[in-house]
Amino acid sequence: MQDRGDAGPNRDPHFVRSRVDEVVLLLQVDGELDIKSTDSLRAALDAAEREGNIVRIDAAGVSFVDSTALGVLLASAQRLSARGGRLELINVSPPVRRILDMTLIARTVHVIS
Amino acid sequence: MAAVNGGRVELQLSVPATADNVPLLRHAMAGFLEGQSVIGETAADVLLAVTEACTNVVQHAYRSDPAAVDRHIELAAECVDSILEVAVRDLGRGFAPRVDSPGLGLGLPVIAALTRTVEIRPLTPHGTEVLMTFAIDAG
Repeated sequence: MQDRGDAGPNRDPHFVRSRVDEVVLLLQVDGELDIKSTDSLRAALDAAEREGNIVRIDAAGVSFVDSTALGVLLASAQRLSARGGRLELINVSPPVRRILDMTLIARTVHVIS
Repeated sequence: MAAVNGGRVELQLSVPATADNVPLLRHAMAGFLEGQSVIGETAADVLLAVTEACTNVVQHAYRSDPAAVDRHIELAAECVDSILEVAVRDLGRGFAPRVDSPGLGLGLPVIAALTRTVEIRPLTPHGTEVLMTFAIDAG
């Protein structure tokens, strides 16, 4: 659905408007993310990636994240990014935010305050 | 188990080095901290550092010694005045570079960022100890 103005030869600006329908998959996560839960986190993200280009994790119920879980999140973010999508984290608690900041993972995973 | 030893409160635990036992050790540590009125960001830092150290044991300590019988993680903690000392020990053959590491290699840097001091030292006859200290302001 595009509405293309007359570009013309006179170098006046023109504007192209288009609608992009992105599929956002919301993944609500509760609990602690560490080496014990790595496999279940990876499986949940794999399934989410199959359904959406944007995977939005609602982390309101996540009380703990360690570097092992961050590795799983990072891998998912990179896979999504490679196909034009992204991984988002919303409702991040202060302790979880702390490790995200410490490891600079927010450069790859979109953390939305 | 937490115990009082000469006025100092201590935690001593030894469990098989499995992924399932990492949260168990973290929860035991959380209980110990709560008993010492260590809460908030300080407690969160301790729990993350302990988890990273225990995860290192599960992922690395016994890889070069698959026949090891005593594949355990030992967790010891002690509060003296405003310093919390936490030791995570294994009985493995020491650290070895691992090109197929399942993690990001962030465990030790994260520990270093969270602790007041951290030492990694070999144990006799074998094993490794990660000795961490934290400044605590118990309420």
